Amino acid sequence: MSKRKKKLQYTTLQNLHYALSRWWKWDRKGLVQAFSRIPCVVLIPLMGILLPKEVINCVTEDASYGGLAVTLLIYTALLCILHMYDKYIAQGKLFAIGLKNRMNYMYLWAEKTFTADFPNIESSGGQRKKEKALRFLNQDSAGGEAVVDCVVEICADALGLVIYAGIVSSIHPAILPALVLMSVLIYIAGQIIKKLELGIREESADLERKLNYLFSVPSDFAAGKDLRIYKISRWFGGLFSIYFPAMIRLCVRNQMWWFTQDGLQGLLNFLRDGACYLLLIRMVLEGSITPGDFTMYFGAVAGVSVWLNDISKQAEKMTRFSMQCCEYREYVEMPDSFVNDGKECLDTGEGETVDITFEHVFFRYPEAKEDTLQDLNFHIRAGEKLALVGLNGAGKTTCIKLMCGLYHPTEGRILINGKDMSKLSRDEYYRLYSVVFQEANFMPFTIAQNVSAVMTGMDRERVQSCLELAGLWDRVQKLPLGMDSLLNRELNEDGVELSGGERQKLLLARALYKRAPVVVLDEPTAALDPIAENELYQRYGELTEGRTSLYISHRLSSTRFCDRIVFLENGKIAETGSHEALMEAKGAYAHMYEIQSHYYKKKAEGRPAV
Amino acid sequence: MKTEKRKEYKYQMHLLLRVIKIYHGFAPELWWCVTAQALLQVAGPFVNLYFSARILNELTGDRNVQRLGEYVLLTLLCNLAVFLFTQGTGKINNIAQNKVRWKELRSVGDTFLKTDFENLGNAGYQNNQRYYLERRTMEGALCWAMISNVQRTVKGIFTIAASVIFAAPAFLDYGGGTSFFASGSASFLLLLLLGGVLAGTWCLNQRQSEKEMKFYQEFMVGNRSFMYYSGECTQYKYGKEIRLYGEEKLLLEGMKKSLDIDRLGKKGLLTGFYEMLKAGLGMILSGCVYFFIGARAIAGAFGAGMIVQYVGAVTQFTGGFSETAGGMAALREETPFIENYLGILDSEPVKYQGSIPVEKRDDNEYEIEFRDVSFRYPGSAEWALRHLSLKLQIGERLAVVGRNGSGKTTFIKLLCRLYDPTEGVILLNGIDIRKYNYEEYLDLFSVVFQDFRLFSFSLGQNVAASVEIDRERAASSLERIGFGERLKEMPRGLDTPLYRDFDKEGVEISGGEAQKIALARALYKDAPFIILDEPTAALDPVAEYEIYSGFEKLVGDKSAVYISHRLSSCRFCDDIAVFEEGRLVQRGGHEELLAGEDSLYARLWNAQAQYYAESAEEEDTLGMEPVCAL
Repeated sequence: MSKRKKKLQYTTLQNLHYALSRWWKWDRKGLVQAFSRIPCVVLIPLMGILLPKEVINCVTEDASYGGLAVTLLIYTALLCILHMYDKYIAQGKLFAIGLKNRMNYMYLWAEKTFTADFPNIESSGGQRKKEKALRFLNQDSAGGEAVVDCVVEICADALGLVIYAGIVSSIHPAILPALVLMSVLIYIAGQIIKKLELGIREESADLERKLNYLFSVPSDFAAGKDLRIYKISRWFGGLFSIYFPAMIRLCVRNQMWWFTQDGLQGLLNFLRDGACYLLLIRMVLEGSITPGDFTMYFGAVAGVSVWLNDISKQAEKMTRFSMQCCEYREYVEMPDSFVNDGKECLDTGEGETVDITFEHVFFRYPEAKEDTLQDLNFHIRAGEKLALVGLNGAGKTTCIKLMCGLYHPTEGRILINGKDMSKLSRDEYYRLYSVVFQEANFMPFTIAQNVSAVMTGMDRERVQSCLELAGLWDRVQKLPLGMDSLLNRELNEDGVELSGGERQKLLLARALYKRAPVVVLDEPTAALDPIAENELYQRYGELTEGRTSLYISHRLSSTRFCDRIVFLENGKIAETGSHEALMEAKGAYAHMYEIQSHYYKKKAEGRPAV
Repeated sequence: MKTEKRKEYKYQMHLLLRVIKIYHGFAPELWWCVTAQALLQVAGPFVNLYFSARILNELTGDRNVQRLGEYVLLTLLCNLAVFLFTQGTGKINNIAQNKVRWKELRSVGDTFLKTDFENLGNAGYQNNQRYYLERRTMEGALCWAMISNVQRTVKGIFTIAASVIFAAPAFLDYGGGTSFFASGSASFLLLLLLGGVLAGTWCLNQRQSEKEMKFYQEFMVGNRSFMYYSGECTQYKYGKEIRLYGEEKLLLEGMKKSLDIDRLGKKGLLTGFYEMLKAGLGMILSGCVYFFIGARAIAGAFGAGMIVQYVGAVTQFTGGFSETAGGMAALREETPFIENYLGILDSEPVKYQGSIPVEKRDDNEYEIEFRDVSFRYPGSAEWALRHLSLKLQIGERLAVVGRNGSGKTTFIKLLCRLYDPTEGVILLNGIDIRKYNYEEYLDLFSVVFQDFRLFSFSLGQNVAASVEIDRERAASSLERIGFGERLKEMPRGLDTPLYRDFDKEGVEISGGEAQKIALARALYKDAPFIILDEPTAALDPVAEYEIYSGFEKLVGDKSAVYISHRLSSCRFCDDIAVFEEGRLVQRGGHEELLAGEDSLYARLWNAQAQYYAESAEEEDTLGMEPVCAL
């Protein structure tokens, strides 16, 4: 409840201005076309009540075929034009216009997602904002597209109401206030029910999410194995028989509330129509209006109600639009704090190496209660091969994220060639690093595109040599389309499915292609078999030649080909030095090494010397 | 051509009827509500037409106040009743539709859960599934929308019937004596026009829906990639790489290219064009009808009040007609979804289902034998396993090692009968495993796959894989696997939800913890065979050591199969099987296998062990006991 009361960042008018000015920028013609519909929306129903009146008057008063024909000809021609134009715009043009708007909003949203400062995206707050912003555009009934209709309808409603109010007021001055009162009552009833709905919304949304989850899990192919072995169908069936009746119970309650509103509506309609009949029939009997006028006035009274109800409906839509628009803007306008003006850059020529220094670096994730890294001090010399080791959760990956500039230290500084990285321009800074992260995520492009990160014009020879170095060329070569094979099976039926090991090799090839002065490998061998792992170790020197490199692993064998080891424990540096020195010290590193080599050492006989 | 069309209609009708029947099973009240609501929706306007005409006649004619009063009262009461009943059935209808929606989703989910695993991997099946997922995100269910279209059609038919009754008197032959307009031939001409307009509208509808279908098909692929770009690629996990490799331009370009908005916008214009033509036709017709009826009234065929009824009825007729046509066209457009839904429900088991119960043995004396088994994944030309012969006895520890892609995981999949061998047989106690009841056969295995899954429900339910939990057993399983401490810290113990998907009080668990829960689930199942496929890949050496040293005790007298790339962890197994390119190339104890200098096992072992070699001579500073003596 308190959340809803939170003041919105922008008012409805500001949001409307935002949406309209954007619309004007993207599609001027469309905006004009959408508004050109207003006369149709007002005139068509108006003529609908005037026409029977004219016809009945023609028949009862004048009784000439010619008069009837002329009247009908005029009306029919007008109605025909208005109707045709309206249909074309409403069903055709508005679809195209709304779609275009929605897509443009979508591009803005995606661009923001791809380019915002990383902490803004990775934090759970940022992710929530991202998801919320999506509500503005994920359906055609959502704010971004609906506002197109909404604005036009409200204008038309207002105009229509004025005209009808004029007609109705000529019957009796009290009618208009009575009708307004009626609409207000209905509106209030609706609001009360919405409030009641809000009380059960959380419960029903929760149930809905759970039910949806029950149905989305089974379509996950990889989960299929567990689902069968552990007979999850029984479990999920049991859950369904708990959640489903609860869901239906809520639904029944909700529908009953709305039915009370229907009851009120029916009663009010009854009163309205009754009063109208009495008034109008009396007027006809008194002779102040013709029977033709009777039908018109009767239609007009019902019409006023329609306009009024539509206004309250559109107003509600507008409120929703405004709320969604706020959420959307909160995301796309989220400020980036990193320097990214392209001014301050580090000039590194081809083949130049850099050195990196951590100076009293502290780091705490946004929203976290404890520091992930505490007082890190170390220096990586230009061209040095450093190993970063430690238990799960020691802060190794966080350390990398800081170094690459995805995050900035909470305290302390990271210097690169003596310059404070937080002062360097962000996007240019990223160019300094080739990183292979643990998870292998690829885009639905070809192998060559994924390796080179450009759509066209990649250096194909370099792609090939990188694939060779990474040990994936043999596989790629055998593919019918070679390096132009598409990767994603989900999107491309003839896409290539790579195994876990191959995916890691592809990541490596991409890192090599970039030829950045710093190479960072985060557990690149977790999915590789011993021989492939060994091959990578053997080639490590070649891969990182002339670059500063950082290797993260908890397979300690990997420390052997690095110049120096930094052992992290609970976010602090516990030990640092060469393998030999650390073994000598018999500290935490030595202990971990012992555990890992335990089974390799036992019963050493029979093992050939290496 | 004609017969083909007819066949198509027949087929569509057949599909429709099947779904209607299925939905009837989901909510028996559904179709009653749909019909009743349609009927009431039709009744509303006709009640008004009928009484307005009477009132107007009275006003233009006798002006009998008492009769006017009666008419007014009747109108008001009828309107009230019809309105309340319409809304009431509408509400029941909504509830029924809700039921149908969830039960439909359940029927699909259940099929996915129960169908053969092999089906899930099948391309056609995955296509069906994709369809289903897309539909669900867009519409909330699969062919739910057909209910409203059926209702539309039914309503249209009722409207036509009612309007014919109401309008018919207007077309009677009132004799051409006074005026041509009152004659039968005028009626005939108007009916002809009416027929013409209806036929025109019908044709336009047909063409429109055909063209729209084409558009729809054209955009299926593009839409899918667009969804992927905007859904999957915007997940934060891609964020690091997008930034470091500057992939944002690539992605935005791909996204914009995937869906051609200008072309898609044309679909709107196409719809707009047809709607415009239909609106024009309708207006011309309504003008003519007005004139005809007005002229007849002038000619004195009926009172002026009847104009309202007759014109209204004819308008209702055309409305009803377009509603019927539109509803039917929409139903036809639903065909692919219906086909898809039924296709999922109809997925036949590909596996032979045996019926022999698996003997429940207290001594767990089971023996499994692979006899010359070869296996190819469906649709693949390469052998994943070739001539594999291997015996597994209860109480044994078997380690399976080999390079990536050598068939280790495939071996497990065949063992659990997720797939059947292409050649050869697998025997349990001497009988082909296909002859056993599959459900019971599965009871023999507890497997922790590399890519195991836990679900966002309570910890206890995850361990027990059911709603009812044997709490003691669940707690002790967790404790035995080394999760006891963490369990005590959990705010609601076994009832603590995993992950925060549904519950703010849920706990986020690390990879290592998830691993342990998955192992506890395997223990809870208490099956005679425990199979671990790379269960420690994500763990650091200490956590790995804990799991292996602890698990060995837990397995007890059960059989265990390990797959691991860390050969150190296989070393305590009595029996090591080395796979290469789908074949079993070596088998035996560690020392025995290592003896062959150039054997694959030796190469694998040395690739890892060399880095630990120099310390081999050092004393074992940990003083750890080997977990299981060789």
